Amino acid sequence: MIRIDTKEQFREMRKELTTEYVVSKTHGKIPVPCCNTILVKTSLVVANLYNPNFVSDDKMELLKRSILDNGFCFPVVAIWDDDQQLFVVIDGFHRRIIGGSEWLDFDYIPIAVLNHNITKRMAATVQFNKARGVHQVDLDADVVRAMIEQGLSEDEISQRLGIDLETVHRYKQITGVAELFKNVEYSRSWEMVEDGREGS
Amino acid sequence: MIVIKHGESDWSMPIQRYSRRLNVLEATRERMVFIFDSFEQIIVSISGGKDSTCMAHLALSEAQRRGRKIGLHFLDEEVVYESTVEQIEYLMGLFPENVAKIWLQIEFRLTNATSVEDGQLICWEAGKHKLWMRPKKPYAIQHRMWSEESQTVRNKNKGFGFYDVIENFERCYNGAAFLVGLRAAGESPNRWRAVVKNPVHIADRDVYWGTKKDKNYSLYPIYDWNFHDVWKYVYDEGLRYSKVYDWQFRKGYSINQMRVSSLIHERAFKSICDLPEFEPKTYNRLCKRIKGIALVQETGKSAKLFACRKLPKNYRSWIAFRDFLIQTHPDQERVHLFVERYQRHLTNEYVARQQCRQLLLNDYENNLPIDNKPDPREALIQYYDEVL
Repeated sequence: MIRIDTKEQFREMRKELTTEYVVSKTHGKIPVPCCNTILVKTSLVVANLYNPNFVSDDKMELLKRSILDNGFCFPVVAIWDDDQQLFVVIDGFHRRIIGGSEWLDFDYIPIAVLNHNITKRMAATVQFNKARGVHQVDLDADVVRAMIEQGLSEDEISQRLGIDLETVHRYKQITGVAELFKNVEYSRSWEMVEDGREGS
Repeated sequence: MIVIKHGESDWSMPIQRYSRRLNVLEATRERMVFIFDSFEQIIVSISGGKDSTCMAHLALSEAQRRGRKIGLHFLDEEVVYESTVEQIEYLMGLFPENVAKIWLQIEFRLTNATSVEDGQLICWEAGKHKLWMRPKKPYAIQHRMWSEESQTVRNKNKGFGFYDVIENFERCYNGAAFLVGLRAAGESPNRWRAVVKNPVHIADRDVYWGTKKDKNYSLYPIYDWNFHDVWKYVYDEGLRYSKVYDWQFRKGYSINQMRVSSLIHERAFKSICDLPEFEPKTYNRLCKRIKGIALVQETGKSAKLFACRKLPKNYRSWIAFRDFLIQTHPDQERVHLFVERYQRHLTNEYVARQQCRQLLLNDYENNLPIDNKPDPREALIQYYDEVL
């Protein structure tokens, strides 16, 4: 594994960096930068200024939890910026933050280096942020139910999945909305009448 | 609910009075008996929502008791949740002996707030069957039941729309009762009072929960139900209901805000934001069917774009933003409709913000009318200028 401690070190070995590729039947050679991940001193990796993605605090906690539980599975994607003489993050801004001193304070950060100009960089950031799935509410609820069956407490589920307790509660509702009303009383009936007439 | 007292005026107002004897369920069963006694032809309008589900079940139970057949009518807007379709199929199959299926799948125009290019969606448009959200039902009514010459349209600008279908459809009947699941508690009191202002006369009784339309009657037998009554009935009778309610509940919607409506109307299009999480396949179909859906999905909840509450940062004022939107409007054929309308309006920030919203929603039909009045903020500022 390559470890980079200084700018000079990267500048020297830069030419030697190669990129693995796979071949697509329809599009030919596709590079696989994640195969060429390098470990870089955390202080050499900085954020970009244009990332529109916002991650809420509870999702940051979940990201930290995920790194502690599963390790650092996806390298931060970055480019080398000749002006700043630093690596600038294209994707993985929040993983970089988690590696910083306010959270887990890593010595090194794994990065995959791309060779993009500024336009391509901005487009790449947006592509990375948006080209992802959402969880179907139903299936999320199924995961919560399965965890309850495996004996996890609501607190543990809330912590591991990064959802608040109220949501765990709602997801637990196996039977649905109608069930909530089984014990209510029917309302009194009313009708419109001309004033002064006898009613039932 | 507002109780209106009989005033000094010489025209009498009906007042609301609670029953000492009956709850809403008992009262509605009596109403059903009355309806079945008074009408030979009964057609229940169903939408797939909880209210009409509950009303249809009450009507069908009475039909079964009497061994009679009633119509279940669904006007299919094509662009609906798959869960709605499933709910309609469920209701149609619930009492097969007592149901005449009136599932209407015909071409008509829907307002489409999600796209500037497709300002209206023609649902079930002929020749576009490959794009339809789903194929038509074999047993559905697939063609207009009335002739081209007799067809009426309320508003020529909007074209043949949802309410036109209802009107023309109802005119095919004579002396029928159309049951509608409208609830006063779910409506604004004023609107409800407008509905019941004049009683209709049926079998020697004054009925305050219906209206007469030409040769037929529209009746609202669950008008006095609250949402919790509807849910209790659904629970007690073990009825199926649209899964959308459970999803919305899990997403934290408040219980009385939950709606299962069309997906692209001005007031309903926010439901698209959650659609990928509810029904990913419906969402995929919708993206192919209508332009602009993906944008709405991403931005529908963001205050800046469609809700139009925050002025985008590059504009000094709502008036400037409005003028920009008019100059750059992609639909040059219709932009004059906005310009002419806005010429009749006051020029202030309060009005201009609403105009921006109309422009962003491409609401050339004026479905979200502009509240054309002096800016309340200006009046407030003036007031403080004077008193301070």
